[in-house]
Amino acid sequence: MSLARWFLLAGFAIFGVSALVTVLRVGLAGRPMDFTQARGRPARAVLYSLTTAMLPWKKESARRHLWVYALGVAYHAGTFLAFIWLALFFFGVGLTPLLRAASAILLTASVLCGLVLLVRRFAVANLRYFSNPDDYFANLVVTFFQALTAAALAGRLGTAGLFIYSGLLLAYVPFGKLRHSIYFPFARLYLGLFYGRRGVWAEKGGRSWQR
Amino acid sequence: MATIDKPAGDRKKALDVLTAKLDGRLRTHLSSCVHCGLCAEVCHYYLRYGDPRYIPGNKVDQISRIYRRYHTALGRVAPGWVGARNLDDKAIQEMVDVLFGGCSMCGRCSIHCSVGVDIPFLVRTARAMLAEMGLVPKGLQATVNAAITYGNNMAIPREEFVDTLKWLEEDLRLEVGDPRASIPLDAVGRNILYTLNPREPKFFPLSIAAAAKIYYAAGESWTISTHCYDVTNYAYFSGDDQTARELVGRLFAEVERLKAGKLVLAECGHGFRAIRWEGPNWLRKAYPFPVASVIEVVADYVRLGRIKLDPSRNTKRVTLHDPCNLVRAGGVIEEQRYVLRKAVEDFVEMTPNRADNYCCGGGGGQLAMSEYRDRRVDAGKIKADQIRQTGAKVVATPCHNCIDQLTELNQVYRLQVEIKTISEIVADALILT
Repeated sequence: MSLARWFLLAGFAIFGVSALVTVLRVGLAGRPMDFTQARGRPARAVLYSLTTAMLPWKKESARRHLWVYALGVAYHAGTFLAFIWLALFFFGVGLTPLLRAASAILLTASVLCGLVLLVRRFAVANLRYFSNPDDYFANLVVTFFQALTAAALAGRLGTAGLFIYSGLLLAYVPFGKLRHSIYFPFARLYLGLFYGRRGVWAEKGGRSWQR
Repeated sequence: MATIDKPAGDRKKALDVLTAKLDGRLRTHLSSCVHCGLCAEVCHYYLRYGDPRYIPGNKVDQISRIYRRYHTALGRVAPGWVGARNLDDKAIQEMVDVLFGGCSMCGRCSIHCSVGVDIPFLVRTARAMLAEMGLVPKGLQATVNAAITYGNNMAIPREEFVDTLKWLEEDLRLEVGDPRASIPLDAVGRNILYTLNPREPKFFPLSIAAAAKIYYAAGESWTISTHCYDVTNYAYFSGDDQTARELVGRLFAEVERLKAGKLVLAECGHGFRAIRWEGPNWLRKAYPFPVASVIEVVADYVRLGRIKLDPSRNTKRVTLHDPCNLVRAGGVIEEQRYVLRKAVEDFVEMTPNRADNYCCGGGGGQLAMSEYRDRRVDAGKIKADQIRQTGAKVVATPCHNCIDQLTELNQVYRLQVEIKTISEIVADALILT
């Protein structure tokens, strides 16, 4: 195995161990006891929280900023796509030229979305107010990761450079803002449990306290 | 605002509070905000002022930056890079101003957060840190102290309370024309132990009369304790867990002492949340008895035919304000609508409503914090506009805290509406056989 692949594996190992520790700390060992008698159905609410609760017609913040929401969704989809290709490159799976070209185009679009979001963070005073250097950096490094993947798909870059960069990126994820990728499902889980237990989410109509 | 100058020992105690509370849920919410800023317009404070300090994401940052500084690797070695910050006097001053003075902990931001951060949960955790340093605003702390010292947050002497209830009992007998009608005090073995907001005996006795009339009509077996009846728990808002636990513990003990079948909570949003949803976790034990809002009880009376209502007795257009802690954080959402539709001729919803409803501005202990009065009333303009748009002449709300704020908004914004509890409206519509 090449040195670049080992580099990527090392970065992935740092990410993986950190993610595992997080899962244990916030999800399994760290889950607080709840002594209340549930009014609603927490499991259904967690499912709702992880799915349709995030759609724009359920979320006023998304409705009010539809284009930013769309850019964000496209950008995150691009990140997932880039990681899928990173894995395919790592295992030497080439797929068809058409799929590679289509992915390169999608990733280029995602890069543009990322850049627009970055410019927005610089341009909008209210966002600058509580942004820190890591907020800009996180956007930049992920956008660059997508750009490198697109370049590799287009044959403009060897995979060795992509592997080394991705190893560094993965090693950084648990430490800065990008750790939200690990925490995100747990945030949705805990919010779903909160509103589900209380009968606020995933309920149709009022439920009598006597039943 | 007075300059804050806290010694290192106090700051260490506050940091110890944060460390002690760091379970999986808290770590998750402290680590999840991505500073997208999309939450801004969801908050009534931001909507009113357009000030970035009131963006919910910035409120999250008031505590998450402290967490990053003391509990994350990058925050320790490169705090500036990740926006981590020492708990210094300037940071503390900002926390007090934004988290006590610029947030009603209504939770609207959490429902609409891109990620799903439980923002009021973080705000309360930060308030707990501030409470540990003795930085709870004076009025709010005085309310908590009164509840602990006198057994009710308005420091009403027991004799005065009993006199009020006796007078209301006589009125009830006259109104229903039955000399056996009563407001039972300290009775043992009743089905329901009913709590009150101390504002009721002090300023709004008619809402007690309304509840008594409903219980009479339903043939309910109930009682009020003259020793421990306060449904409020302002320690929930001040962040003082120990006092919050003490207050809930007293009610718990009173239910057991009087051998009541159920604990029924008066129309009080945060009281319902504190007792029904936070209390068992403060006490670290499940209640062996059911706890319900009186709204749920009344809805069941109507469903089961235990009371009959005549909507033609309430002809004015009525709208409903959803108290955040009863509805969005409490799950009592449809019962009050069901009851109002049976009790009034013309019911109209506000937009938005239910779990999406705007806070009136009086939550989070704001009504007790006179230093932030102007902000509270300004931020309430969002609610005033909502009310005006309905064209209603009566605003019903199952929360005495909201009643106070809405009453003030009614005067300031000249809404020309009546503000009523649900029980008062139901009592007016009761058909007594």
